[in-house]
Amino acid sequence: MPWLGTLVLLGGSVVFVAVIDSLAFALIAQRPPVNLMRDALLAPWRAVAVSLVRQQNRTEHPDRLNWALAPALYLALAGIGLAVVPLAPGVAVIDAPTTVVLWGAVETLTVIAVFLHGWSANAPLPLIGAYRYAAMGLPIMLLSMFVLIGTALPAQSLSVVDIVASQHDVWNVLRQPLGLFLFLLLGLSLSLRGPFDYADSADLAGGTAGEVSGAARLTWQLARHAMLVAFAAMASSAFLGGYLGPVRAGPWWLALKMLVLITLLVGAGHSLARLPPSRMLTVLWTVLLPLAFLDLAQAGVVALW
Amino acid sequence: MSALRALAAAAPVAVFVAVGEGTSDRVDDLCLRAEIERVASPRHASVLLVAGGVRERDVASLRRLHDQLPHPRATLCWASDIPAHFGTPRTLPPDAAPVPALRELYRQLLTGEHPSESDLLPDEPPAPWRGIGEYGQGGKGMMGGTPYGRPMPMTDDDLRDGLALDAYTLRLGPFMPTLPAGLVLTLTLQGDVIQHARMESPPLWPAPPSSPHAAHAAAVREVEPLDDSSILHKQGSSAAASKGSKLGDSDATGSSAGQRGQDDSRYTPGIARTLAHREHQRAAQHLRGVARMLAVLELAPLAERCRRMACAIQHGDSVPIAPLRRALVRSGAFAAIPAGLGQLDPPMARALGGAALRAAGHAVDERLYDRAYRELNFRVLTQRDGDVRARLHQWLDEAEQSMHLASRAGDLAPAAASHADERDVGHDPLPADDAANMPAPNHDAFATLLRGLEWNEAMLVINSFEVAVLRRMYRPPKDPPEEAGATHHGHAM
Repeated sequence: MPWLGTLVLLGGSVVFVAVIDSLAFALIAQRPPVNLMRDALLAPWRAVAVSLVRQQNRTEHPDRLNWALAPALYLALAGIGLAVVPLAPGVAVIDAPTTVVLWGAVETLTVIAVFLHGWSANAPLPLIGAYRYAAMGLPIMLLSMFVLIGTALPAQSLSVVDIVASQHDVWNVLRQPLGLFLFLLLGLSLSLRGPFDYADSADLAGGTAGEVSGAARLTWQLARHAMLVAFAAMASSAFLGGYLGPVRAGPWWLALKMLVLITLLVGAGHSLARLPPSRMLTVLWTVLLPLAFLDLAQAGVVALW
Repeated sequence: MSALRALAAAAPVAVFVAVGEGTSDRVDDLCLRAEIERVASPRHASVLLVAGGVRERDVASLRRLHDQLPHPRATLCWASDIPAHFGTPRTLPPDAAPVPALRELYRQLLTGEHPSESDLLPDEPPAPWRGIGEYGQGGKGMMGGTPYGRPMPMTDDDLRDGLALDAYTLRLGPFMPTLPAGLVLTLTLQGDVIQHARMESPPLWPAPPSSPHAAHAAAVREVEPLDDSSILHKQGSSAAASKGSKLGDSDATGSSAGQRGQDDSRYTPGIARTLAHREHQRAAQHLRGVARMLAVLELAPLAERCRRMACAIQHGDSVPIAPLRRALVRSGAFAAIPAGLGQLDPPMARALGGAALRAAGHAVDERLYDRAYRELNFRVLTQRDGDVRARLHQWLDEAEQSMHLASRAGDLAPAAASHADERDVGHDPLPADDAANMPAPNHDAFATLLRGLEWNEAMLVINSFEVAVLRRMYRPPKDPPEEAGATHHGHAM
C-alpha cells in the first residue's frame, strides 16, 4: 500500500518541519537555552489549537471561492508531488512514465495557488505578494526544469522511479553537483521560505497570508510545510538516490535524506537574506539560469560519456 | 475548558501591538519574552496591545485595527489612556508588568470569563457608494472613480518603461510593524513600484525623553538624537556646581574630594558612568535600527538577536558587536542591498543630519568637541556612499565604537573633568537654539527618495533612517490633515 506509506511519511515529516522550524529560529535568534526543545516540540500542536479556536475572518468583498480553494490546491499539489516519489523499488503511488512532467506541473500550479491566495483577499498587501511571487515563478520553474532534465538523461526516462534506479552506482549529486544546489533554491521558493519568500514576507505584514486567520491560515501553513516535504522527497530522489542506501534499500533511507534536506532548507530560510525582487530577478535571469544551462550541458556530456 | 482551548491557552499570547508615543523600545523588549508572540498582522492576533499614548489623528485607524482582530479578541491599554470611542478595554499603568496581565487576559478570553470584544465600527463601507457610470463606480469604463470612498486604479505611465499600468493609491500606518511606529504614508503604486509617496504623519519618538534637561535634549535630538552627549557634561558640570544633584550624590562613594584634592574631580566617576550609559543607549538604538532593517531583509531570527543585544546593552551589559557583524556578512545582508539604494546627495545629507550624514562621508559629530571624548581618543567614523548599505555599516560601526567608548569611560583621567570649564565640556557645535531652527530639507526629500522604488526597496530605505531623521523629512500640510480613511483605501495597520 504505497499510499499509506506516503501518508505516514507526509504526516511525520510535516511535524518534523514544524518542530525544526521553531528550533532553528530559536537557535539563530540566540534565545536563552531554557526549554527550547520542549517549546519546539509543543509549538506545532499549540499553533494548531490556537488556529482552531480562532475565528476565520473575512475581508470586504473577497473572492470567496478562490480564497477557500487556494490552500486546498496548494495542499493537494504537495500531496501529488510526494506521490510521484518511489518509497522502495517500484513502489510509488503514481508510477507513470512521465512523472517528472507531472512534478513540473506541480511547480507551475503552485504559482497559481499562491497567486490566488493573495488575489482573493481583496486587499493591497496580499495582492503585492501575489504579483511578486508570480514574477519570480517563471525563471525559477525554468531553472528547475533544466536541472531535472539533467537527472533524467542518465536514466533515459522521465519517470522518477527510473531516475532513482539509475543512481544505483552513482548518485546524481556526483554527476551534476551544481544541479542539487540550484534545485534547492526551488525548494525555498515552492515553500515560501527565507530568501525566496516573496509572497508571505514580513515586509508585507504576512503577504498573501496577512489577511487570513483561523482554520484557513492553518491549512495554508500546513500546505507550506507539506510542500517542503514533497520537495525534499523529490530532491532526495532526483539527486541523492532516494530509497537507495549502502545497505538494504528502503524508505528509511529516503526519510533520512529528506530530514537532512529539510533541516538544511529550514536553516537556510532563517539565515539567508532576501534580495529585493528586481535584484533577484536579475540574478535569476543573468546568473542562475545560465548556470542551469551549464549544468544541463555538463549532465549531457556525462550521460554520453 | 476543553482540551483544545487548554492547549491553545498554553501557547504564547499572539499580540498585535499598536505602538504609541515613547514606547517602541519598551515594546521591543517586551516582545522578547517567550510568553509573547508579536504578530505582523491583526488577523493573526488574539490581543490588541495599545502601548503608549495614541495621537488624536490616529484613533480612527486604531478603531479600524481593533475590528480586524478575529474573535475571540481583547484589548489591553498599557501606559495609555483609553482612546476616544474605544469601549472599556483593560488598562495597565506604565510601571506595571504587562506579561502577566496579557497572559491572564488571554486565559480569560479562552475560558469565556472575558467576553470577546464586539466591533467598534458598523460593518459597512467607510464612505457611501457613489454610483455614477456604466458600472456604478464613477470612473471611466470599468476603472477609476471612488466607490465606497476607495479610489479605483486608473492607468498611468509606468516610471520604468512607459507602459500604461494601473496606478493605485493607498494609505499605510500608523501601526504597521514594518514602518517606524506612528509613521503614516500615502503611496501611489503601480504594481509594487512607488510613483508617489507622501509622509502624512511623522514617526513617534521610540522612548520618552527622560533627561532632566528634557527640553534642551528634545531640541537637540530633532537634529541629532544620539549626539547630545555634551548635554551630559553640562549635567555633570551643573552637578558639580550644585553638589546636591543625584549625579553628585551618587559620585560621593569611593572618590571623595579629599582623596582627589580638587573639588571637581569627585564627579569624574559620575561623568564616566554617565558617558558609558549614554554610549550604551546609543549602541542600543543603533542595534534596534539594524533589527528593523534585518526584518525587511526577511532575517527575523537575526533581527530578534539584535533586539536582544540592544536590550542587554541598554541594561548596562557589555555585548560584543563583532559576532553579529559576522553573522550579517554570512547571511548576505550587505550583499542583498543594492548599491546606491536610497543614496543621499550632500545637501540632503547635511539637511537630515544624524548617522545618515556620517554615512554619506561627513565627519560631523558633537562628541568631537567634547573634552572627555577627546581624552578617549574619539574619532568620527564615516562611510563613503551615503546609501542604505552605508547606513547599515554606519550603525554597526558606531554601535561597536560606543561599546568601546563605554568600556573605556572608567579610564578618564580626573583632569578631564577637573580642568575642564563648562565651555570645554559643554561646548556644543550646534547650540540647541540653532538646532531647533535648523532648516528642514528644501524639498520633499521623502518623496524624492522613494519615487521609482519597489515596495521592498522602499521599506529598506525608510528603515535605514533614525526616527529623528525621518521626522526632519516631514513636511506638515498647509491645511489640517483629513481624517484617516476618509478618502483613501486605508490599510488599517
